[in-house]
Amino acid sequence: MKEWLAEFLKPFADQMLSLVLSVPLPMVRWFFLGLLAILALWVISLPAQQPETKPEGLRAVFTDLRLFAVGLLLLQSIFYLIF
Amino acid sequence: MELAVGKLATIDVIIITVYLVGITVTGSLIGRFIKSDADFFLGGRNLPWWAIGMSMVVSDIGALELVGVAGMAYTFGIAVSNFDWIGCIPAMVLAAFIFVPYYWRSKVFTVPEFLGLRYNQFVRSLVALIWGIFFLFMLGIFFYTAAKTMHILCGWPIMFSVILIATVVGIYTFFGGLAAVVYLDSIQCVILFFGSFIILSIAMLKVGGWGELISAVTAMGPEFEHHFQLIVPADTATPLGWASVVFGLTFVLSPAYWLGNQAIVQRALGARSEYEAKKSVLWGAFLKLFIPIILVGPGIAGVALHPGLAKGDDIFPTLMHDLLPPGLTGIVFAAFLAALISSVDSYLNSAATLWTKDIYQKYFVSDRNERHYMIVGKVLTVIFVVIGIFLARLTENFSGIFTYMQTMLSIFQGPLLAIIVLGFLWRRANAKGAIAGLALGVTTSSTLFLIKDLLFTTPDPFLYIAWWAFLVGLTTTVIVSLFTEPEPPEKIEGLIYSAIPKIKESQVQ
Repeated sequence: MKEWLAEFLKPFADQMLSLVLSVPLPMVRWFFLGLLAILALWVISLPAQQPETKPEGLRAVFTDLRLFAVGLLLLQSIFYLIF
Repeated sequence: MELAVGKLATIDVIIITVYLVGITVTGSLIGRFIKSDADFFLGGRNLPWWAIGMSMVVSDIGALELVGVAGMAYTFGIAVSNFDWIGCIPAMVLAAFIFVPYYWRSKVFTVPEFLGLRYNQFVRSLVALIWGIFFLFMLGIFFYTAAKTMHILCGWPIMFSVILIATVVGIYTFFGGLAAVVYLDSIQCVILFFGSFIILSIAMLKVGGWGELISAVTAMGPEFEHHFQLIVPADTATPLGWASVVFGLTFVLSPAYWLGNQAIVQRALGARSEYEAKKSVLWGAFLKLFIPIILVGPGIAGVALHPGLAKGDDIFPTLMHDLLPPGLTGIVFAAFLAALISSVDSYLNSAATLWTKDIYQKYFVSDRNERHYMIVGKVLTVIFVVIGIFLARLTENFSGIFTYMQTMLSIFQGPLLAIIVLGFLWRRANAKGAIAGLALGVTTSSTLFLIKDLLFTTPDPFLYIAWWAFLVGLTTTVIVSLFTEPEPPEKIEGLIYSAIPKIKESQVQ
């Protein structure tokens, strides 16, 4: 039964493998970076994420979680650009 | 691995003793503020964001990870960083802005409780039972692997270490609940970062810096050509090929972990406000950026310092043995203990929460006051410590049990993620679809595991299997939901992302 099932799925698995092997590694890198960029754009499109009571003396830009998240994604992108 | 750090110096023993006594006493003192079930299970919903974020990160690093990540870095290179970077950061950002606020607003205690609201009580009970049993087995495995590693590092008898860890964690989790776990995890996070940074710094100084390290490792031969690449070919003979990282890790297992694992989500549910819940996850993501640097770094440096080790996992104890003077050994050893203990306490507290809220309160006694459920949670904590010790003994005799449980988890997580995501994003998803999706998804992953040697080129294809199980679970849930009655609108009111009114800036707390 196991052999039969594996035999049945093998052509599909091989096709999948050859498909992913045909993608050049530089393109994969851009895919990773694109994924992070899309996520950052989506975060920026959200409404501002501010606390109800803003700490005194802090400008709104420092308490908006969207900017913190975008900063994170940017840092992450730098690692994937370098390595 | 019969490699021991050796006999600890007196100063090291003092540091370790102070650390163990300190966390036990501090955790127990926190217990003075525990009065109700919400205090015990969710820290009174008054936990600060910085402690939650640190707790999330340090809970994710267990007994095996500290040694294992360095070991994988030694063997396969920096691609292992993908588990903490692309495998965590995007999922944590999504969790922070979509899922965590949604869980937080619904005021649930557990993820299965949310699934019960969205689908039905059968789905809730099924998921709670699977997680509840998994947590108990994982406790035993954590106790055992922690003890085994301590045996390797300093020669302590295994059962002595099991009982030592179980006693320390059991005492402060019993008295302090989630608050003790989270606050102590934040201290343990600092110790872990500090200890790991010490070993990284000394190793890098000894190698001569990053440039020297790259030159030394790449000169060792073609087998090291991918050691400094994050993205490696899909057909590499490791689980780190780019396709499995993207499809299995980034799209399935990582979101399943950060959105659906009770041990992680429970922390955010204890935040003071929705804003702090989001902030805690983003803070955790920020800390995650540094995990590969402090854990992968020593493993890579080890390639240059100790080439040719038979097993990659030997590199961390080898570096401790060779590089650290007395005093620093104690600090790094405390960091190691912090990594072990922070995972155990999280699973212990989450197991008690699941069994109390989703099983005991749901099926046995549902009409008692909050104090009653807090006491039940405490009693279950003690029982689970005893069960954990027993299962640790069992794990000692059945060495394959860890792999078996990890396998069980990856079998279940893809389909579970499918029903969580659909339940949250798609109004039309219903209970029949979710049950069918779970059943067929789990069947798919189980079948693929049975024939993995005949089908996949990589020896450990759990990431690919999680991906296909997720796809099957997702497709099945969609098809069955479309062919069956939709959930009544009043039942899912406020439980669907698109149906939640846009929150004005001023309303976000």
